[in-house]
Amino acid sequence: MGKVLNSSEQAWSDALLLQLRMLDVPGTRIGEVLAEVQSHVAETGEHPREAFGSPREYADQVAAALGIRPAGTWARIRGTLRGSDLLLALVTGLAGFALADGLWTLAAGETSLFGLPAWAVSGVGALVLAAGTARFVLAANRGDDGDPVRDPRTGADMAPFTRTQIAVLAGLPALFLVMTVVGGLLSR
Amino acid sequence: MAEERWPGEWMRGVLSLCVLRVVADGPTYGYAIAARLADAGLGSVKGGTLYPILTRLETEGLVSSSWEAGDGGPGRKFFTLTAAGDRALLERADQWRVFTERAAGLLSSPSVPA
Repeated sequence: MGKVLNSSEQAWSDALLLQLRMLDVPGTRIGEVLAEVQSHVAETGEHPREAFGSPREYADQVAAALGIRPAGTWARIRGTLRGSDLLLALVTGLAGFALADGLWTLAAGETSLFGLPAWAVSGVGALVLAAGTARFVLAANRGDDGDPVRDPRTGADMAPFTRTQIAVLAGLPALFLVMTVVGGLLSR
Repeated sequence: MAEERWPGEWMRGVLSLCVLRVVADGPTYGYAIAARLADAGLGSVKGGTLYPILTRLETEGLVSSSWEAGDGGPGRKFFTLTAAGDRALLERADQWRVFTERAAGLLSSPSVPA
């Protein structure tokens, strides 16, 4: 599928995708809706906002047509969060903190942290963080989100995780860890 | 006639039936349906109104849809009337005719001063 929408139209389409996801519209149906929008604006030359209104209003109309009750903002956000995701985020965050604190301590030339050997704290933090990151990267590479947004015309995933996105999500924390080591070394 | 703008509540009442009628003429897609409705004098129907109606008709099993590749474009989604759609169209069009005749009869009756 070639480039069909310009960047402003694509932004509208992305916002619609998010709103439909938050209303728990099935991925295959979201794919249909996005393809309809592409097809319609290609035909009329209108901006999606002219033809379909705001992404949120249109998502509500689509949901109503499917018999899905529109929800408030908080209910939408809550509906997309899963307990396992929150737990993973919490564990990964704590591991990141342990690794960063351990690296700083080691770089600063000290040996103990919270009454434990700093190398052990860093090691456990690094292992847990690596496991969490690997799980995330593997899931993203597999496109394994359970209910992908499928393009009805090609069967392609319409909201894939790109390599750039993975690189930024994994690269930024790695950069912060390097900066922590540098900070520790400078504090000597 | 100039561009018509009918009251929204009237459009909501009859648009779904009119869309069903347009699809009954043979497989057709969103933009062509909107153009046909405009030609019939029902005013311009936005995509944001039309596609949810088509989605509802499809979930009710009155139309079916399939994508066809366009030349270089993003393709078109063609809608076709199902057998159930055919029956629903006959029945509802008939009901609509009786309803509008009665409404017109009432509206055209001379008003009696109290």
